[in-house]
Formats: sequence, structure tokens, C-alpha cells
Amino acid sequence: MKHEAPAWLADLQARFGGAIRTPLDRATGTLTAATHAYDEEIARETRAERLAVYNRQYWFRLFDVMHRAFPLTTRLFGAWAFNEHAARFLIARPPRSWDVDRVPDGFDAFLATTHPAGPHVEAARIDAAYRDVFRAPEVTPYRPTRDDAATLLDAQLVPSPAVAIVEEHSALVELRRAILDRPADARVDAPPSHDDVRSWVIVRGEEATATLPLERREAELLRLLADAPIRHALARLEATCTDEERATLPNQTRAWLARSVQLGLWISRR
Amino acid sequence: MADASSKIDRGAIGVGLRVEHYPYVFDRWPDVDFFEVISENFLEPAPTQRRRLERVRARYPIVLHGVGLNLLGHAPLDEKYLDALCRLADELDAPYVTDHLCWTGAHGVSHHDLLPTPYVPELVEVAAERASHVQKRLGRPFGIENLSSYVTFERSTMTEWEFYSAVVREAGCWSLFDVNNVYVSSQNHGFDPDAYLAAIDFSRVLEVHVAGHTREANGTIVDTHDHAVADAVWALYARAWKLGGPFPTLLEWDARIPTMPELLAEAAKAKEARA
Repeated sequence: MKHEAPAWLADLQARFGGAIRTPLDRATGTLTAATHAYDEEIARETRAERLAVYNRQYWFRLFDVMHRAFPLTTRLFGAWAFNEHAARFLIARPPRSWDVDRVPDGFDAFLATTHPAGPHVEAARIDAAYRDVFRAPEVTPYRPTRDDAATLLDAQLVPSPAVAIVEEHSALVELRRAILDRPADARVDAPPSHDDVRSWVIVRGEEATATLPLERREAELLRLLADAPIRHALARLEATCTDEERATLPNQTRAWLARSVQLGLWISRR
Repeated sequence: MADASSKIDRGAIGVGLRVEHYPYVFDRWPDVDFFEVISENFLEPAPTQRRRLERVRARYPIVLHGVGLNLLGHAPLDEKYLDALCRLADELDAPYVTDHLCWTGAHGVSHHDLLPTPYVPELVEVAAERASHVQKRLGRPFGIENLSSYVTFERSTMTEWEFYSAVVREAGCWSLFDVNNVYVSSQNHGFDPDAYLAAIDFSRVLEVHVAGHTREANGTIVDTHDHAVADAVWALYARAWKLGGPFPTLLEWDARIPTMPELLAEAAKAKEARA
């Protein structure tokens, strides 16, 4: 390019950008623009309250993106408290991409480091799993052939990026479904804890995403299969089972493996 | 370079396609001349989004409207972004591609907003050279949209319409002329919107945008795209049509999104305004 942007433009954009990224004031109980932030270059008559429009737009747009990406987490916290966490995240990791849908990337991990373990952090992990599944690239599910049969036990299956397995200590997945069916703003309480951890598999289909419950041992097997060849995964699972479970395990593992292939949980073998 | 009007009739009326509309579109295939989509939503799309867009493209022309080019950012254009935009435009066989005369990001941070700069000849050269480069890379008409804004700068030495017209002319590009943006800025900054209209070379206008806005308690008008088009904007549109019509017209509605029939009814008001 023959014409480079002048140095003053970089300075102006640094100051303007800094002003509009100034966190909104929460002191009054509503989110108000930081109208004290202004730039000397902005014409006096349009300075403070007009810059406030950009200040509000920046934050409300990003909060909206965060709410849409983390609907369950938002409702568990309530929008007001959620926005406080979101603001901390956005200050620590301001948007870098032209793709606004990438703004929430990493919020679940961030929350896990800034908020005590519990339903909110678990909810963020579940919301993030749905995002990841939805955004995963197009994949072709692995369908074993007859020729594969002889060597399959020693192969390791490669998980599909369009699939996620999530754990919950309370009925958060069902709550998420109910929240999406009946959108509202009010905070909701976390459901009571389950007696045991429960697992779900989230699978993206052609037009919709399915969420299916997993039996405890089935979930364990799927996790083991993602890390080890089938033979080793089966052996590790068996090692943790009771004698009673071992009696039915061969039939069950065959059924679970068949179901996992039918659902398209794998994209290849190695 | 393809003729800008080769795929969309000059009198065409289109609407912005948003995710909320897909069920209706796939069920009814409404009578719409063309759809416009936000480019960035499809540059790295989820497969589901992409399949939906392909279904729509099979029946309607789709034009690409970007919000992330950062034409007036201090940093050079992002060529990887342009690579992706070119691929998408080719895949959709988009009649044309548009984005805004603004900056969106600086110093590595994207603000996801359309931000103004001072209006000075020095920046006309920068923007025009970049826009020309974009059009060459796209291999199809590239339209530059005028901005709505809430602040002005002490450094400006040109009016907004002088700045905008100069960039379009010197770039050899096209205009995406947004009459709502002219109205919003004219109210916020106290200029005559008809002076803006008079400066537009309508032979270079690819498309005209109309949209709704919101007037805040302090009188500032914000370009919210969450209401029906204001009567004053339809009146300005009518004057633009009289000056430079015909041109394809598109209704943008991005928040509090109405049903597709309501959206189409609003867009159809363009026909009344042309009468």
C-alpha cells in the first residue's frame, strides 16, 4: 500500500478504544456509561454523553453475546451478577477476533479459576460444551467395515469434535433445556444435587443437536476409549467393576460400543 | 468486473436475513427479491449455519454485508480476513460485497462496533487505496457504507458527505448508501440531510439501506435497528429515490426482530415511498 495510516490515527484509536472499553459503572444499581471518559480530539459539544453511547454499546453488545453463549450460567447467576463475571473476563481478555461469536471463548475456564467449584462453574462447562459441539467443523462419522473387525480391538477411536460428554451433579442439563424453551431474565436456583454424578452425551446432527443420557459405566467407557485403544479401555473399565457388573459387562460394552458408532461419536481409528 | 446491477434488479427490495427467520423461510419461501447476510457470521460458520445459508442461496441472491473489515483502522487490512471473505463471496456467487467506512479494531482489540474517524483528506487516501484493494481481491463490486455516528472530531476539515463521496470516487468503488444513517447523523450533528443526498453520485449506488433507530431521553438518536423505519427516514428515502432512483433497497432489522411477514410488510413501504 502506498498510503499508510498516519501515526495520529493510531494514537486517537488507542485513546478512543480505551475510553469505550471503560467498564460500566455499577454503583447506581444500573449499568451506566463511564461518561467521565472522553477524548480531547472529540468535538466538545459531542464529547461525554455521546462517547457514552459507544461505551454502552460496547459493553451491552458483549454482554448479549455472553448471555447467548452461556444461557444456563446467566440464569443461575442472574444477569446482573453474571455481567460482573463477564466484565472481569472481558477486561482480562478483550475481544481479539473480528468474529464476535469468539468473544466468549474460554469463559468457562476463566470462571473455574475465579469462582468456587459448584453449579455455576459446572453450568459454564455445560454451556461451553454445547457451543463447542455447535461450532465444530463438518465431520464424517466413522463406520467400521468388515475389514476393520480383525484389528479394531487394538485400534484407538478418534472422538468427533461435534460430540461432547458432560457431567452434572444436579439436573443442569434439563434446566438448560427448560430455560431455552422459556427464555426469561429472572435468576433461577440451582437444582438439588443428584445422589450420583450423571453424564450426558451431546451430539450434533444434520439440523439439530441431541442430548442423550449415559449410563455411568457407559460414560466411563466412552472417556476411556478417547484415551486408549479399545482393548485397554475395556480392560480398565472391567478392573473398576464389581463381580456382579462383570457378569453382564461383555454384552453391555458391545451394546455401548455399537450405540457410540451409531450416534457418530467417532470420526476415525488409529 | 461484473456489472453491479447484473444480478439484482435496480428496483429490488430485500431484507436482512437473521437466524430467527430461517424456520419461516424454509417453510414458506417468501417472495423476496434478495437477502443480505452479515459476512462475519459465515466466514467461519458452524456447519448447521452454512447448510442453512446454502439452502437459502439455492433460491435467492445473497449479498454480503460486513462489519469487520476495519477499513479505517490504523493497522493494515487483515489479508486473512480478506481471504475468507473472498472465498465466501465466490461460494455464494454474491452479486456484490459491502462494508462500512469506519474502524472497528485497533491495537489488537476488536470493538465490534462501527467507529468514526476525523474527516480529513489524509484518510481519504488511506481508505480509498484500501477499498480499491478489497474490490480487486473480491473480483466483484465492493460497496462502502456511510456511517451513523454520535461524535465528531476537532481534527475534521471536511463534511462527512465530502469525505464519504471522495473515498467512493477515489477508490473506484461503489456506495452502499444508508439513508437512516444520514438521518441519524444529521440529527446528532445538526447538518442538513438533503445536503448529504445532493453529494451522492447515485450512479455508483449499489444498494440503499433503511432501518429503525431510537431517540434517547437526551435527544441523541442511536442507530439501533430495533424499530420500524421512522417516517422521517422514509421521507428522506423518497427524496433519495426522486434524486437517484431506481436502486435496490434493503431493510435492516437486527434487534427485537419481528416475524418475517412483519419484516416484509415494513420493507414493502419502500414501494409507497417511491410513488
